[in-house]
Amino acid sequence: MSNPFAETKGGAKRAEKLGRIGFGIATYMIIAFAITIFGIITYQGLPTLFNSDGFNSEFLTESPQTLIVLKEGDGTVHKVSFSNIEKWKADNPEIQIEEEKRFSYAGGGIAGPLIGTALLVIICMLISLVVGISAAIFLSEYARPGNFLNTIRLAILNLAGVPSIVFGLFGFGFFCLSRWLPVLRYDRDFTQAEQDAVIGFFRIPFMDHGYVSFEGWGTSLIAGAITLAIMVLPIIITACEESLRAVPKGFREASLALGASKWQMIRTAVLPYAFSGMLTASILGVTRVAGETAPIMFTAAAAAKATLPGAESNNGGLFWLSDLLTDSVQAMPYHIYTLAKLPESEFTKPMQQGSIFVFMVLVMSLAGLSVFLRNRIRKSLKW
Amino acid sequence: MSKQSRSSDSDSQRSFSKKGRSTLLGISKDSWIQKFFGGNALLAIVFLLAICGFLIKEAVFFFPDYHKSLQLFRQSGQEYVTLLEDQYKAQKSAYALVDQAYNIERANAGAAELEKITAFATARNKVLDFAEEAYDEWDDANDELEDAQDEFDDAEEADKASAQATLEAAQTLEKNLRTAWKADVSAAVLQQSSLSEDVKDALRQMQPDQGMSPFQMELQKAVDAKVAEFAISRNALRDSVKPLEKLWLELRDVAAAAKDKGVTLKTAAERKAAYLEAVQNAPTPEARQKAQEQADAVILAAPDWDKEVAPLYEATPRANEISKNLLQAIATAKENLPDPATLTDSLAQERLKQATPELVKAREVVTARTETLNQWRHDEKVGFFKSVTGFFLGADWVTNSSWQDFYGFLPLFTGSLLISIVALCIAVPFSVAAAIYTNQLASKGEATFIKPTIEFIQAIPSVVLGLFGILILGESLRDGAEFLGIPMQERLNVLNAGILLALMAVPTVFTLAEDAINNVPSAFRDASFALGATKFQTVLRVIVPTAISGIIAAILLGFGRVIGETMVVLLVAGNKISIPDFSDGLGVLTQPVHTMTGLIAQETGEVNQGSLHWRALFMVALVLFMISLTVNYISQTLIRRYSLKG
Amino acid sequence: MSTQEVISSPIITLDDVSFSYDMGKTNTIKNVSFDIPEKQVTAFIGPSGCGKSTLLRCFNRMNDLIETAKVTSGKIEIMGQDINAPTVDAIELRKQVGMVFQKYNPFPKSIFENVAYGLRIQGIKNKSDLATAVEKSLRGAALWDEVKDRLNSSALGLSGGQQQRLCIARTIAVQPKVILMDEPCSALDPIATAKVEELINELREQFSIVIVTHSMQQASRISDRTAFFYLGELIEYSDTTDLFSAPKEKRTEDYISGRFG
Repeated sequence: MSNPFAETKGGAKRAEKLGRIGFGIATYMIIAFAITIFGIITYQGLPTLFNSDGFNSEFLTESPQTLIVLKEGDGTVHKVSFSNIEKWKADNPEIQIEEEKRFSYAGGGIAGPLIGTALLVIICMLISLVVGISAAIFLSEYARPGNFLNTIRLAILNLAGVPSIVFGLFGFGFFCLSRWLPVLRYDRDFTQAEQDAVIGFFRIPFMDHGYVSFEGWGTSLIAGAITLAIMVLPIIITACEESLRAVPKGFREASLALGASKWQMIRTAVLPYAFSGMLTASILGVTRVAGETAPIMFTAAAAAKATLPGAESNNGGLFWLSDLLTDSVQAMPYHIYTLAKLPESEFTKPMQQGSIFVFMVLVMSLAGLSVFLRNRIRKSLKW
Repeated sequence: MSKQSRSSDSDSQRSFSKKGRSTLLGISKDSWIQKFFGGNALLAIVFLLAICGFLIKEAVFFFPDYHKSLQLFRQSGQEYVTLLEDQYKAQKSAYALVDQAYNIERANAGAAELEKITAFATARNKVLDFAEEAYDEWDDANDELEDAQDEFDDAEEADKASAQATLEAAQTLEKNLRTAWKADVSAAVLQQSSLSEDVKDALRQMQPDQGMSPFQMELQKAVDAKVAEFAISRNALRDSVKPLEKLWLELRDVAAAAKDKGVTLKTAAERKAAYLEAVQNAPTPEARQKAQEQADAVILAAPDWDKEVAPLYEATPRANEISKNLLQAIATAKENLPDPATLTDSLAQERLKQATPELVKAREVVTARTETLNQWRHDEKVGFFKSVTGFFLGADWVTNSSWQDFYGFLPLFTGSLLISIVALCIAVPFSVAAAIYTNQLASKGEATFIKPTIEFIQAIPSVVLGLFGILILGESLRDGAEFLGIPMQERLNVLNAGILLALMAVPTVFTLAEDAINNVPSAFRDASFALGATKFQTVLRVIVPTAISGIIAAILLGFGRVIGETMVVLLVAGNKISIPDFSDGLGVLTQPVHTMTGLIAQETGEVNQGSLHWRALFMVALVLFMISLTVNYISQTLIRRYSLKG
Repeated sequence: MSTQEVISSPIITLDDVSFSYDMGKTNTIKNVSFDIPEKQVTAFIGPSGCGKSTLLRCFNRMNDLIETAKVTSGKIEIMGQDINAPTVDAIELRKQVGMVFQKYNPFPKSIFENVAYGLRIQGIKNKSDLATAVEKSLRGAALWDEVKDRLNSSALGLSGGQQQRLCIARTIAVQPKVILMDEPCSALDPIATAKVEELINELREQFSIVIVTHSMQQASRISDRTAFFYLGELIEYSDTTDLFSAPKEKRTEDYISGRFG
C-alpha cells in the first residue's frame, strides 16, 4: 500500500534545510568571532603572566612604571623596571651598556589599577545598592500606582540607556569642579587659636587640627564612585523592581491576611522571593561598573601614581578615609586606555596584552558568577 | 446599653489598636521604614533629574556665547578676511591642479629633450671631475686675472703701463690654462662613449665659467615650446594668485589685532579690579605705584571698531581689482587650456579634467565672495539664529585656533551615525538570525549553550575591545583589504570601529529580539504546524511578522547602545574631525572619522569650566542625551505594544 | 473493556497504543485500541486529564514538538499508514489531518491571509486560485456572508465565535481528510457554540471529524460515535445513542449521570 504521508520533494523542504543551516551558521559565526577574540587575547596575554622564572609575580604586585631597556654591545637586551634599575646595575656591574631606552607604563605590573578598580566598584555598589534597592522597594510596594508613578518608571527606564560618557561629563562638572562640596582635612599646624578664628562658611573646625573645607572634590575616588553609582542606578532600580513585581500578588495578600504589617509582609513574603533577581541585578551592575571607562576618565582616574591608594596619607581614622576618598586613583580600564594611546613598540606590547587579558578574565568571571548564581537560585526557588 | 456590653466594646477596640507597635518620635517603625525607602527613591530621582538639569544648564548658554563669538568675528573684520581666504583657496586649488597637469605634461612631452639635458648634466659633472685639477688651475688664474683687471682699473696714470703688462700676462695665462682645461675635457669626453654626438659636441663647446650651456638652454626652449600654449593658462593663474595671497596675509594681521582687542576687553573690568585691589594691599609705595600703572593701562572702553577695520574698507578697491584679475585669469585659462585628449600623459589628462570643475567653482566662489565683500559691513548684527544653524549645520569643528574657533556639529554627527549604521548593518542580520535560530530552530541543548554565550559577549569591557582593535583587528583588516586589492590607508577607520561595535550590539539585539520572538503566543505556532507548515515557513510567515515590532525595538536599542559607545570609537575610529567623503562609495568605510562620544572624551579634560568650548561639549552631550532618550522611548513604546498584544 | 464492534471503513485505526510524556516512565495513554470511521463525527469524552486531548494530538503528531513525548507501544494507522513509521513526514501528515484548537488562534493577519495561509505554504501563488479557495472555505465554514466585505481587515477584529469558525475555514482550506477538534467550543458563548455545532454537522459529509469535548450534551448532539476515556484508558466506545442511553460500563454511567468528573 502506498504511503499517503510520504515525504515530498518540495521547495519548502529544501528551504527548511537551507534556512536552518543558514541561520545556524550566522549564530555560530557570532560565537566563533567572540571566541576568536577571547582566544587571541588569551594567547597573547597569558605569556605576560609568566617569565623565565615561572609565574611573573611582579605583574600582579607592582604598579605600572617606566620600563628601561638596556642594550649590550653584542645585542643582548635586558628589560628592567624603573624601581629596580639601581639594584640591577649594582648586581650586574660587569655588563657594559651601549644603549638605554625608556618606555613609559611598560614596566612593573597592574596592582595599583586593580586595587583602584576594586575600591571604585565597592564604594559605587555600596551607594547604588542601598539607594537603588530602597527606591525599587518604595516604587513597587509603597508608591501609589497611577500615571505619575508610570512616568517616573518610564523616565528611569529611559535613563538606563543614556551613554556613559554623558554621565562622565555630568560627574566631572557636578562633583569634580563644584566649589561647594565639603572635604575633611587634617593640618598639624592648624591650631586651636586659628580654629577659633576661622569659624565661618569656608572652614569649619573638626576635632584637633582638623577642619572641613568647601574646596570641592576634584578628580577623586569618591567623585568617580558616585558618578558610576548614578550611572547604574537606573539599571539596578529597574531590575530590582522587576524581580519584586514578579513575586505573585497572592503572597502579599496571604501575608497581610495573616496580620503582618506592611514591612513584615515585605520582609517575609516579598524580599526572599525577589532575592535571586536582585542579586543577579547587582552582580550585573558590578560587571557594568567595573568595565566602564568613560565615566571615570575625568572624575577619578589618574594615569600614573607613585603609591597604592591610601598609602600616601599619614593621617589616621576619618582623616585617612577622607584623604583616600578625595585622592585620584588608578583604575584598570583607564590604565588600558593609557596603554592604548602609547606608540607602537615591542616593549609595551606585553603590558598591553597582559592587562587586557587579566581585566577581561576578571570582568567575565563576574558575569559568569551572576549567571551561575541566577541559575542556582532559580532552581531552589520556584513557585 | 448595659455596662457589661460597653466594656466588651472597648475591649474589642483595644484589640484592633496599634498598641503593640514600638514608636520613635511618635512615628511607628513601619512609617520610619517607609520614609527611609521613600527618601532613597527621592534621592535617586533627584540625582537623575540633576543630570538633566545640569546638562541643560551648562549647554543652554552655548548659543548666546557662540553668538557673541560670531559677532566679534564680524566686528573685527575676520569675516572679511575669510572672504578673501575663500577666494584664495579656491583659486589656489584650481591653479595647483593645472600646475600639476602642466608639469607632468611638460615632463612627458619633452621627455627626449629633458633626458638629453639630464644626460648632459650628468656627463658634465663626470667630465668636470676628471678635469678637476686643470679646472682649479684655471680658476686660480682667473682670480688672478680679475685681480689684475681691478688693479689696472684702479691704477694711477703713472702705473698704468705696468698694470697693463701684469694684466696681459694674466690674460695669456688664463687663456692658456683654459685651452689646457679644454684639452682635458676633450680627452674626458672621449671616454663617455655612450653619449650621442650632439651631447659630446656640447661638452666640448662648454666654457669653464659658464652656468647653463647654450645647448641646455636650446633644449629647454624646445621643451617649453611644446607646452607653450598650456603655459599661457598656467602662468595666468599663477600670476593672479600672488597679489591675492599678499593682500590676504596683510589684512589677516589687521583683523587678528582687532580681534585681540575685542577678546581682552571681555576680561578688562576683572583685571582692572584685580590691579586696584593690589593697589590697596600693596606693601610698599613702589609696588603700589606699579600696580596703579598696571591698572591704568587696562583699557575699559570698547575698541573703536570703525577705526580698527578702516584698512579693510580701504583695501576693498584693491580686492575688487584682484578679483577682476582672478576672473580674467580663469577666463584666459579656460580659453587656452588644451583639450585633455590632446595631452600625451594620462595622469596629466586626469589632473586637467579635475581642474575644469575646480575652475568653475573658483569662478563661482570669486564672484560670490567679491559681491559679499562689497556689501559687507562690520557693524551689521549677526542674527541669533546663526549660532544655532552654525552649530547644527556647521561643517567645521575648530578649537584652540589662533584665528577663530568654530563649533560645527555635523562632522561629529555624521561620524557617529556612519559608524552606528555600519555596526548595525553587520550586527542586525547576525543577531536576528541567531535569535530566530535559538528560539525556533535549535534543539534545547543548543539553545542553553547559545544564549548565555552570546549574553556573555556583553561582559567584554569596551576598552578591551578598543585595544584589541588597535593591536590586532586594524592590521588584519588592512591585510584583508590588501588581499582584495582595496587600498586602506588608515588602520583606524570606520570599518574597524563598526565591526567592534557590531560585536557590542549583538547581545542587546539578540536578547531583545529573542524575547520578542519568545513572546509570540505558542497558539500561532501550533496553528501553523497543524496546517502542515514547516518550522521555517512558520518562522518566516507567522512568528517574525508577529514579533516584528519587538525586533524593531531591539534594533533601536542596539542603535542606542552603539551611538553612545565611547571607548571603542575613541581608540579605533581614527579621530579625524571632518565630514567623511561619501563620493568614494564604499571607500568611505576606510576613512577615519570622529564621533560625538569620542570628542567629549577627548576634549573635556583640557577645557576651562564655563568657556565657550566647555559649553559646546555640553551641547554635544545634550544632543547625545536627547538622541538616546528618544531612541529608548520609541523602543519602550514598541515593546509595550507587542507585550500587550501577546 | 467492552468488546469492539467492527467498523466497516475505518480512517483511523488504533492498535494497543500507549503514549508517554516523559520518555516512557509513566504512560498517559494506556493500551488503547479502536477504529474511527470515515466521514462521521467521533467524540472523545471523559474527565480532565483522562488523555483524550493527548490522544487527539497523537493523530497529527503535534506531540512531536515536545522532545520527551513519544508513543511507547502500539500503532496508529491513518488511511492504512502507520503514522509513526520513519517514512512518514509529519508535515505531510498534518496537511491531511487538520486541527482546530481549544482557544481560537487566528494569526494576526487579515481574514483572507489567514485562510490562504495553508495554501500559500504549499506554494500556491496564483491570486485567483487563492481567492476561489478562500471563498469556498469561508462558505464551507458558514462565514462568507459575515466577512465577505472585510476580507482584508484583521482577523483579530472578529468576535470569538467568528474567529473559531475562521480557524475551521483555515483548516478546511487545505482539504484535509481528517479534522481534529480539541474542545472547539469551550471558549465560546452558547450562541456561538450553536453555530459551530451546526457547522460541524455540515462538515461531516466531507470530512472525518474527531472532536474532544467536555460537554456530554454536545457529544450527544453532534457525534455519531463516542469514546469515553478515564485515566488514560478507553472505557467504552460505541454509537453515541447507545453510549448515552445504555452504557455498558459502570464508570461510564457514573460519568454521564454526573456522579464524577
